[in-house]
Amino acid sequence: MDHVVRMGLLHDFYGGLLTKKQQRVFGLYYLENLSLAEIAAEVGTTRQAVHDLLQRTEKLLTGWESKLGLVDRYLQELAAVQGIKQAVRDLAGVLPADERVTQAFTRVQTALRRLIAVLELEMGEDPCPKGAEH
Amino acid sequence: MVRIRLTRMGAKKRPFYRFVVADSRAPRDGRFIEILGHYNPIANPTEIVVDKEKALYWLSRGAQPSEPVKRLFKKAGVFGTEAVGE
Repeated sequence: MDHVVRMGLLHDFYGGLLTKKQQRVFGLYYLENLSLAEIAAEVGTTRQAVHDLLQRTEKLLTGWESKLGLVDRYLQELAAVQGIKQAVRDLAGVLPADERVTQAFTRVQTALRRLIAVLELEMGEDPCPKGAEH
Repeated sequence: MVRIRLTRMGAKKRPFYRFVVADSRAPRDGRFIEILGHYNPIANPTEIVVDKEKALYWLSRGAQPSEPVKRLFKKAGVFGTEAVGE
């Protein structure tokens, strides 16, 4: 996974544990993609100070992740749910046109939507698009 | 100086990024000159969409891409020789 994306996810899960200053500088660098020099000008410090603060913040975040593993867990859940979504789509294409089958399949789609909501894994699209309805 | 940045748009736990052209003299006013595409790292497969023509236009005008932008543009074949997408 791209370093920027991983750092963004670490910020999503553990950012609330950082100080305001750490949150601000980390966000400017990893979420808004400003350069060290731009951040230094923005917060009124030196480029080196920004660099050091980022290093310390990354170390904190990766330390928490190594103990708690929330991001890795999230990525595993995401991959598993993406696999189920694809399997449901494939299944929709081969099911026979039968009332009981349709009802059972609708229950599977509803359960999958609930699972995605519970795990907060919405992936920017309907997990069971209309076209996949049997 | 004009820069090309990778800015995150998505909500928490739903990372989604845009490639934007922005003026480095006003880095925090939220304005950008143009959107060049997007990057969805959690799509399966990963999605990198770049308007190559616009990107090359800005690069030829001296716009400076950030390191992540350079890396992703290379992956998306913006510089010419690489395979498109992932």
